[in-house]
Amino acid sequence: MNEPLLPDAFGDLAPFADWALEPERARTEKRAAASMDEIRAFYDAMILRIDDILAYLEDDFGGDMPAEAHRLYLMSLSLVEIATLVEFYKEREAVDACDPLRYASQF
Amino acid sequence: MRQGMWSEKYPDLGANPLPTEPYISEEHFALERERVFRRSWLQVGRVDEIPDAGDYFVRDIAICNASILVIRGSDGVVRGFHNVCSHRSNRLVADERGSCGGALFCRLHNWAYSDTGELVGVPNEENFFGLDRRDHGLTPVDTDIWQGFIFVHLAPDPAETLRNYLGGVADRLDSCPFHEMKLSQVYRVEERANWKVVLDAQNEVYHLPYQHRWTLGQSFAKDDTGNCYFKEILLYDYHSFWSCDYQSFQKLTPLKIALFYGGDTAGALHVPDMVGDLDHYLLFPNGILSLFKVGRWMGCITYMLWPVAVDRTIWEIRMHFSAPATRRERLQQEFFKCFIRDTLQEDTLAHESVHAGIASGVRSHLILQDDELPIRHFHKVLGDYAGYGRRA
Repeated sequence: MNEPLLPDAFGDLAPFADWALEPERARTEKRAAASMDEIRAFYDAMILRIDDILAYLEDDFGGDMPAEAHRLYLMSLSLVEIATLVEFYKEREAVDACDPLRYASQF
Repeated sequence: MRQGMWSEKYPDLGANPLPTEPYISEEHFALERERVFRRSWLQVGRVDEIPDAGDYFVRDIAICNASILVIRGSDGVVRGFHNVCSHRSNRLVADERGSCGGALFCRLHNWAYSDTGELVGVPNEENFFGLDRRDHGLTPVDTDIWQGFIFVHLAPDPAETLRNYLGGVADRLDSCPFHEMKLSQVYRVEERANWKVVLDAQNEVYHLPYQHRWTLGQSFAKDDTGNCYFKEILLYDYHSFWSCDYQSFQKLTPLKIALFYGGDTAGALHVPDMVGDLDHYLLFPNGILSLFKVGRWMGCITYMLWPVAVDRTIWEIRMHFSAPATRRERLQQEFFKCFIRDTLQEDTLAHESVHAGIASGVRSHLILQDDELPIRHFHKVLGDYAGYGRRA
C-alpha cells in the first residue's frame, strides 16, 4: 500500500505538497523562485483550510508525527513563509527590501 | 503620552547635528578598533549553544583580527580562548561550531588540547628544547556570563567586571526568564555599510511608519501626529534603553486571526517589569537586546554588529523563543520570526542606501530630532571612548 501524501482529510491540498520543505532556507528559496500567481494559489488553498489544519496539528500523534502529517505541518510553515507577500505587501513589486536570499538562516 | 521633550530630560546631550566623518574614515575605524572593541565586553553567544562538555563555537571578531573559541570544558565551565595553536599560531578550530570528544587537535602538527585548554599532546615532544606543556596551553580570553549570554573582553586585564559594565541594564533584566528561551534562528547578513549606520537604524522608531509602511510600521503606537514615539528612554553610562507600545488596533489578516485567535492559549511566559510591549536595550558598543510580547509568550531578538571594514558589517540577527507548547505556538513563532525577518530585509536595503549617501560626502552632518535621542547618546558615548580628536 502506498503511503498517503497528506492526511486523508487534506487530500485536496495534494497539488501543493511541493511546499512541504525544511529547513527554513528551503522554504525561503521556494518563495523566491515562485511567481506571485503560484504564491497566491498556494495561499488561497491553504488559508481556506487553516483552522482545520491547526486543529489537526494539535494532536500529539502518540509522540511521533506520521510522514503525511509532518508534510502538512511543513506546508503550514511555508504558508507563514509567504504570508507577508500576500497579506501585507499584496504584490512582490511593493517589496522595498534586499534580496531575501542574503538572509542566510543558520538553522 | 509623555509631556515635553526628551532633550529637556537629557539636556547634556545637546542638539547639534552629528558629523558624518566617523562613518567613513579609516582613522576613526582604527580608533574604534583600539579604544572600543579591544576594550569592551562583547557578547558572543548563548550558553544554550554549547550545552554539553566539549561543545564549542568560534566567534570571529574581524575588526580586532581575533578568532575566539568558546568551549564548555568537561568540568562544565565555559571558557574563551584565542583560536590559535600555541606551536606555530595556526588557526586551531576551522569549523564554526561542533563538539570535540574531550580534545582539540591542531591540523598542522597534531598538537592536542583538552577541552579546558591545557596542552595535552605534542608529537615528537622530546625534539623540542625544554618544552613545558604547562606553559603552552591555549591563550585564554577573559570570559564571563550574564543571564546565559556569554561575553568576552580582548584586553589582558579588563578594567571592570562584566556586571559593572552592564550596570543598570543587568539590574533591570536580572529577573527576565532568559533561561526559558532558546536560540531558535540566526541570520547573518553581510552589509555594505558602516556598523554605526546599522546601529543607528535600529535605535529609533521615527522611521517605522515610513520605511516599514507595509510591514512592522503599522504595529506600533503613534501619537496624534501619526508618528511612532518612545514611551520611555533611560540612559546609562554606556548603554541605553527605550520602549514603545503596540497600537491598540492591530491590522488583522486571515492568517493572524487563525494563528493567534483560535485554540487554547497555554504556555504563557511572563517577563516581569517590562515597560512597554517592546523593550529595547542597546548594549554598548555593538549589541542590541529586544524583548517583544507576542500573543501569550515572549520573544527576544538580539543583534550583534560585527564591523569587518569601515564600510562593511556583518549584522547577526538572533531569535530566542520559549519552547512552544503546541504546534500552533510554533507556527505563531514562525509568523513573528518571518514578519520581523521580512521587515529587517527592508532595513538592510536602507542601511546600504544611507551608507552610500554618507560616503558620497555631500552632507557633512546628519540632523537628529528629539525622538532620535538614543542615537545621539550612543555617539556621545562612542566619541568619549574612541576619543576621535584625542591623540592617545
